[in-house]
Amino acid sequence: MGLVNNQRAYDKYLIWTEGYGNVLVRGHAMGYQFQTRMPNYRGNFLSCVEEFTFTLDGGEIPKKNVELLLNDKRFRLADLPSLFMEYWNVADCAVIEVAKDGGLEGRREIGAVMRLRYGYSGYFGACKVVTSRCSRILDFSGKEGDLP
Amino acid sequence: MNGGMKLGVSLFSYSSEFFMKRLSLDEMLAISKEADAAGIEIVAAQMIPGYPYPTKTWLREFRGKCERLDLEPFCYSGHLDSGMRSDRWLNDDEKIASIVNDLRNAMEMGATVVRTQHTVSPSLLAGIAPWAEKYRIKVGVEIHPPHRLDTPVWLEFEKAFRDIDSPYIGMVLDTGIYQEYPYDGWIDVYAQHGVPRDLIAFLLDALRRGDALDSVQPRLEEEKADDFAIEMAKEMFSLYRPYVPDELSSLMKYVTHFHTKFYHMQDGEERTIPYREILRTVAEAGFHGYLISEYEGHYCYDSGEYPAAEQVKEHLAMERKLLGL
Repeated sequence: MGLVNNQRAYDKYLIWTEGYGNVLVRGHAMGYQFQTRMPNYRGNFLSCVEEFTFTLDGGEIPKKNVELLLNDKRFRLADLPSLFMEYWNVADCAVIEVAKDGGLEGRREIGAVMRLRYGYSGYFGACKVVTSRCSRILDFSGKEGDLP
Repeated sequence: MNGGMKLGVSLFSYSSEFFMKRLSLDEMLAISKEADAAGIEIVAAQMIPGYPYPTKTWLREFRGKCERLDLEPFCYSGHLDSGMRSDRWLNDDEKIASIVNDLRNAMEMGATVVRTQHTVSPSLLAGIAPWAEKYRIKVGVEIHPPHRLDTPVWLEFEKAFRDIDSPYIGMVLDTGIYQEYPYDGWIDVYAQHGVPRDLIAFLLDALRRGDALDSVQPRLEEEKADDFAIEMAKEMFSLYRPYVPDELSSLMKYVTHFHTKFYHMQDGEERTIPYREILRTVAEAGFHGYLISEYEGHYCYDSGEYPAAEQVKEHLAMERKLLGL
């Protein structure tokens, strides 16, 4: 379906540029976090997120290093397809936490791709699936302890 | 003739403002009141915290907010996410449970109508009717583009409405099914993605003549049209066509309300959907109930260039003028 009816207006907010930084454990950066928004006018069940992948400076971030924090819970990306009772409200940010010893320094390009199934949309027998992409430069200099 | 019609607003109209947190719920209600709305529709999956199981407290507070502004919390707009699971479609029991959950939430917020979607199959409506009757809340299945009243599944829905013949089972008619031509914002999105303006003009001419998608294929091939141009052509001929009035009078007893969809109010007019003709047809068909304005231009105009509050106000004013309210 089309550019407009895919509600692509929201793609640019897939990576939300507020509230990011390194994750400190006893003073040592064990990883980094940034926030994401549902690129859609409404919320969706996590099971409808068919794919959620991330890049750092163009290189793919291994899925096993990534967790999604939402509704005061923590989810591994591989588990998303089974989470049909977990709702991502569109007004809420989901935090992406990436395990990386030493965290990040300076300006880095974070990319995200989400393939989202529209669970209500089976107009002619199949659900619409929309791929949203977004890339943002985030400056991690001194960004510690400023997390949501 | 139009004394039984009331005007309302779907809070979906303020989607961009809500997403960007530029307007609070209280502000959305207040500006709807300023537009002289009598009733409100809220898209639960969008704006109700805790969906699909919000607290009674939240729902009752919403009702209170509406009542303090003398707004009717008219419609709880539900989604039926029949494709929510990754492994299979929802079965009939699960679909009914989803609708009953909508009814429960709707009752707490004081709504008298639940909007649901075509993903509830026509055969399931007979099983939903007893629940709707117990809750005394109407369930309206929304007809929405790309469907039209002559789409086969809608012929089945219409038959189901007549067979069940319950005042609690019916349809929401979204006037988007009568949209004739795309609006400038929609066209501009494709132009910004590289679709040549002369090709766009050619497609629009063909659409205005009532031609089919097939008729433009040779030109698309000749120009070696890219994916965006092909997508634009497909969308254009699927979502828009010159207005052909439907015979609505026999269907009107099943219409819970209209979504009076609009994309762009300019100089007091909506040029995508022929409201003068549609509202005349609706009035002549003897409709009594709500026209719920639903602004959808926010997908293309999301930077605040045409504030939703102003667009909504202008749309209700146009309806009042056309209906002589």
